[in-house]
Amino acid sequence: MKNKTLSLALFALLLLPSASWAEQVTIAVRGMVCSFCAQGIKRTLMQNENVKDIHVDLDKKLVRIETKDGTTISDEALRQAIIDSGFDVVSIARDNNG
Amino acid sequence: MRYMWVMALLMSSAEIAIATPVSFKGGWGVLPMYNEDWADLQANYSLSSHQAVGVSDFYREGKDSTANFGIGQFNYLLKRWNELESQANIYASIGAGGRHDSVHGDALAGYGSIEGNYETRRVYTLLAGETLQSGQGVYFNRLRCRGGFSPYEAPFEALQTWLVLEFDYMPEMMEETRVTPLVRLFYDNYALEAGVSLDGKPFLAAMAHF
Repeated sequence: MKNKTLSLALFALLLLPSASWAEQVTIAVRGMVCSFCAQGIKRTLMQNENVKDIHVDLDKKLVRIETKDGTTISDEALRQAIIDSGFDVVSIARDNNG
Repeated sequence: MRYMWVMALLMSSAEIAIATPVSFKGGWGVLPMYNEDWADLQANYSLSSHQAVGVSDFYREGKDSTANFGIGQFNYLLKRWNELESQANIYASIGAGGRHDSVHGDALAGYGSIEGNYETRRVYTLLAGETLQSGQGVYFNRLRCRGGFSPYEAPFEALQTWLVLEFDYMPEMMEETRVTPLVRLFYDNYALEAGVSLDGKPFLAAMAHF
């Protein structure tokens, strides 16, 4: 019984990180010099149902996205969203946050 | 007619408004502008980041008459240069519609414009030419030149302030040239421009993206 309880606890611990898994994506954007115009990036990306939060850094010309738990967004979808907003993508970097 | 547009836009929900002729795909915009002797109200919908359709209601008090133009227009981003520290654009617009003139009555009208701008986080320049043409010599032409700067680099979420000097050449107006110092404020998806020309004419414009 004790071993069974321990096994269940270990199994639950293994499940926990994957249940709260989210992804941090950082996009370097070219042409993002105006806060008013860059609002289009935020509004376009927020239409993606997997996006939880967006932070725009005009100093570093970066857009940081946090996905909802257990979801991801493809490079192609991110690239298209930036293009639809009127800007160009320089690079896309990912950091899985478990 | 311009009041009808204001009412229509106010009633068509908060999902309106724009600043540049083309914004982001699916973006709505409205740009009301007011001067003492001319006023304009534009609404646009961007089909993509390069194309937008819109309507405009323009009123002007000319040398001989007052006229109202109602125009449907197509705006196109001809070229954009996205650089790390700057952005430059060339836009073109064409349109057609009708006009009502206080002396000459109703007639068809056509519209065309071309605009170029260059912007960094601290510098803003614009050069634009536009023409409204209709029968019986009722028209409006404007050459617009702007230069401005932002005294600080505002973060994305903060208020950004621009100090701008605008020069207008409008040969059909009572005063053909006008110089207007103005303040331009950006916050979130809203923008406001306010100024007074050197000859004392107030200028007010509001913009928003949705």
